[in-house]
Amino acid sequence: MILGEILAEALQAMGSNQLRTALTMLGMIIGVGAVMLMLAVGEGVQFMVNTSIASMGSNLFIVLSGSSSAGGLRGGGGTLPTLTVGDAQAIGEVSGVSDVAPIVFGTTQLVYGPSNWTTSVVGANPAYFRVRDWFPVDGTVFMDSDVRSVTRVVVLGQTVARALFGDENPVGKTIRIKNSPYLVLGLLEAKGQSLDGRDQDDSAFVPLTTAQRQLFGNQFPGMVRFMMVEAASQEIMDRVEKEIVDLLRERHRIREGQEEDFSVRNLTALAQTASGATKALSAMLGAIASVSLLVGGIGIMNIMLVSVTERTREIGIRLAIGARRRHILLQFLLEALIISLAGSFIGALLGVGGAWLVSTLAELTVVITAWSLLLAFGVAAAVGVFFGFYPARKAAELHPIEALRYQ
Amino acid sequence: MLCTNLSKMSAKIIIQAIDLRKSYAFGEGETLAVLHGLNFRIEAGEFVAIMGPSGSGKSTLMNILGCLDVPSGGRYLLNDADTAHMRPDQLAELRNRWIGFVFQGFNLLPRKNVEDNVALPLLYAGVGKAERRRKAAELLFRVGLDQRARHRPNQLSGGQQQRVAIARALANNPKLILADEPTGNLDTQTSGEIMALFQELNRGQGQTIVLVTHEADVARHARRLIHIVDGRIAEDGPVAELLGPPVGAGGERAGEGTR
Repeated sequence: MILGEILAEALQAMGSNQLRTALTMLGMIIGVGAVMLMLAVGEGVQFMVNTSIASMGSNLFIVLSGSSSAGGLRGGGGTLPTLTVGDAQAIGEVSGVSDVAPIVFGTTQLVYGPSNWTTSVVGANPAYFRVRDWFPVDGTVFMDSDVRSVTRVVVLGQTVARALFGDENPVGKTIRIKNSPYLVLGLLEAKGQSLDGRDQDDSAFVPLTTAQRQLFGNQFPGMVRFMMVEAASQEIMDRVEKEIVDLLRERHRIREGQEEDFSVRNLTALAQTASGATKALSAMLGAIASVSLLVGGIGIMNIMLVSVTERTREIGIRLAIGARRRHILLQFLLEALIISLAGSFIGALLGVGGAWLVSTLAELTVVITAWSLLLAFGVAAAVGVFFGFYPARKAAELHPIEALRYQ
Repeated sequence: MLCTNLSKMSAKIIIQAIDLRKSYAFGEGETLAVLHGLNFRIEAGEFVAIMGPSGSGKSTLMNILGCLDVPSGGRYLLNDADTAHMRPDQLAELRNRWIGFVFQGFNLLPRKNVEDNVALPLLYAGVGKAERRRKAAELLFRVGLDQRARHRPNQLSGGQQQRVAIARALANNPKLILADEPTGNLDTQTSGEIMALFQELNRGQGQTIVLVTHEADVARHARRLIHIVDGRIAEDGPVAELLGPPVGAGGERAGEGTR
């Protein structure tokens, strides 16, 4: 096959003007490197956001109690204790709701031996851990029987466990909360940052009833601060939201036109918005970097055009001794293709190196996917063919006599 | 002796020009006719010089004979193939297989070594690498440059470069060698050597050669002369009759031998 021979001719021509070849390649190197780097950063941000979203749990509603309103002074959402365990049980009956986790919480001090740590203590039922997809790495979480019998048990997040116990295994130990002993049942897996940057592992969990009666005993028994409600699937979320609202209005005896004393938020929709925003950011970064790829491509076309003009006589000689047009076309096209492919290979290496540097220096998560590598190479090959084709065709369509006469 | 030599050949016709015309269009319908209907045939084994003053149309004729261009009227048959309606790639194939070009400016590729230059027509004919090298070495031996295979053209003298060009022209065993002022850039002595090489190719191997020149001294090395004036054949006959005694015999010079 003559293709190999023409490839050798193309390589020889490139080798005889190395500086020019290298400079042309530099355009592609920078372009592909920039695209790789930007995609890596974009994918990294997306990865971080998606991890946060996944850590939250899926298909979630948050039902908050309403704001308190006294003499024109209005508190924020959740300040008025309107939601009760009864509401939670009623919501659990709504079709399409798979789990309901009513929650009370407060901030208090945990003590183990000489160590102490002040953190958020959450009173919840076992459903909470299912809703959050949060499982113990050691020990267990408490059960419904613990909630019924108001036992003094606690499940620790990683940060809390480290603060109190250091490297010691906390499971089976006893800590003190508000001067009462609590048995550590389990240690939860690390959850990392939430979407808003809070450390989710800096929490301890006790049964709902224990929190209500022992820790944050208050004037309204049975009230909860908020609930997490999990729907069975994403498609039914709108319907379930409406049914929860209707149910609570009825239970709270809110008449038509009256303001609700609770609010229902679709967390998944919020998360999707955040995810969509980062996707757009990632796409924008890629688009900006693509401009440099385009500039690199135009550089290739420019140099190839100069090269065709310079080598007009050579083309004439080749045509005279029997080169077909496609041989000439192929030779110049291959030159452009090699420049763009070699440039993109080096650029990809530099992009990966740059991404590594960014992740080390700026402590940013970067993700290099096979997809972005493939994209960079695909685009580079397309650029080579696209911008190489016009000069190559120009070379192939030279008339042998005029080309031979060219000085 | 010349006649007996010719009659021994099988008299296969290589080139046949029938009312060959070429004109160029200028803008609105204006045309410039360069060739006004040429008729001649060249048989295998002939050594023909085409002479004529500049502007006579001999370069145009050369381009058509070399399948670099097609006639605008009449017929040009190369080895019985009519080139008039051929596509560029078909013409390229004819040039590759049947014609060997030798140019005034040598036209070697400067970045390739001598061997690769000689082998280039073989490459476009699809010959494999080993065979190309073998053939190139053999051709370089024939022109006496087998020791220079690895040199670049610019490391050789003009005469040596033209020998390389001749070796390249012979690469695909062409039916016809077309030489356009092959000695135009060479001094007298080197010219003589190159012409001697052509004569040897013609006499020794029966290679058909068509030579375009405006120098009578060069044309004398051929056996037949076609004299073109203003796009028409003015004379066509044996060189000895048209130009008188050969060089070295103190003969007069025809044409405009400027040196």
